[in-house]
Amino acid sequence: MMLAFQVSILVLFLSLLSGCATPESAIYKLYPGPNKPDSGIATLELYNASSAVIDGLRVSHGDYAKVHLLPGKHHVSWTSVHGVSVLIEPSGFAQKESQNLIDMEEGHTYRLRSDRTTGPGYVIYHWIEDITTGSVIAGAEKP
Amino acid sequence: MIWGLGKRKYLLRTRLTKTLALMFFLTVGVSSCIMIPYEPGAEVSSSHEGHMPLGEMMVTVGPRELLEEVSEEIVKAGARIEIIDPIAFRDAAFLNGDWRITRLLEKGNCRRVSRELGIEYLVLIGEVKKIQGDEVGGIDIWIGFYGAGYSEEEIRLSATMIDLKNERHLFDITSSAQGTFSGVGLFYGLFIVPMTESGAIEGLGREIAKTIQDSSAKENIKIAVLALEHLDDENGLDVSKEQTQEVLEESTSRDEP
Repeated sequence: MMLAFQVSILVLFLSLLSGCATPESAIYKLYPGPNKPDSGIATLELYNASSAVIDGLRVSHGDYAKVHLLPGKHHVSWTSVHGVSVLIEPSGFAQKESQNLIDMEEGHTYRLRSDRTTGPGYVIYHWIEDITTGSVIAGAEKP
Repeated sequence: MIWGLGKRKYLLRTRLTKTLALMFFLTVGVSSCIMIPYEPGAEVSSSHEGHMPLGEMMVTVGPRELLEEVSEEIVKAGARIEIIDPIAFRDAAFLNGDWRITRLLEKGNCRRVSRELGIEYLVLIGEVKKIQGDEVGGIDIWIGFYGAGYSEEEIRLSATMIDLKNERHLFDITSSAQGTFSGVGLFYGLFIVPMTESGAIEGLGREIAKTIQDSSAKENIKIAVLALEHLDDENGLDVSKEQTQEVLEESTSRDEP
């Protein structure tokens, strides 16, 4: 049992390393047809999300840092993973999943943000930021 | 007065904090592990009997790293093979953003894409399946590694190949690699880590390259490598090669008077 736990820690560690290595230029073009200028599409940055499911399709932060989408409504289900002291979480990490329906505007960039409080009874916060306007469009920002 | 303490108490506390911090970092720094990676060989099987579940699966470029790794192995094993940009293929094959495999297999579509991009084969990589094997013993981490044990795992990876020009299913290939993660720790840890997924990818790429080169005498064979992904795992339908061929045949018969 413990070995599986250690293996998962090593895998998590290696995954985090590979996640760090995701090139910023790795963009998932999630719309058909020829490339459009940035002003004609919406950009979703995975940022703090380890993975997401966008309109039913999986995107890993290890593969892509950003997703280009057509403007309009999109279903985004996303997960963030946080390292936590083993004194609080025996597994050494915690994760949270959120689901949002986002109405994305053309030329706007959205960022999946996550942060947590520390100590016993910690809380993980998820929110989505429209960095073009600087506003939070979904979720609750960490106080 | 700092933090409500006298100067002497403050200095003592600061020194204690510094000492504890130094001890902690030294302990963590000295405690280390050695990981010895190895790549297990893969068992590869290929057949005309399709077993890849296609149904309502989507053709995607989602697992970028996996596609790059498989492509690299194919090119390494097949000198005559050239791989085109998967997004260029996806955009040419799926004009309206409906990326279901059934759309790709509609009559005339594969042939059109083959003609437009000058490519012969499409390789669709399935999802990586991990099967956990036996686990014996265990290792604890608490300022060092303590214990011994091993665990076995198997990684299975499948691909289906479509002859675009002739609009027919060509081969299904399955590659599986088995590895054993083992470790021993007494403060220091020594781990033997299997690169099981790399082994399965290498086996798959090698077999795909061999199959393609055996199927075409061309000097430069252009192919596309994309992934198959369930849109919704619960609603995924199992469709075998026969059903894939049925879709192709139905499309053919619809268009013929």
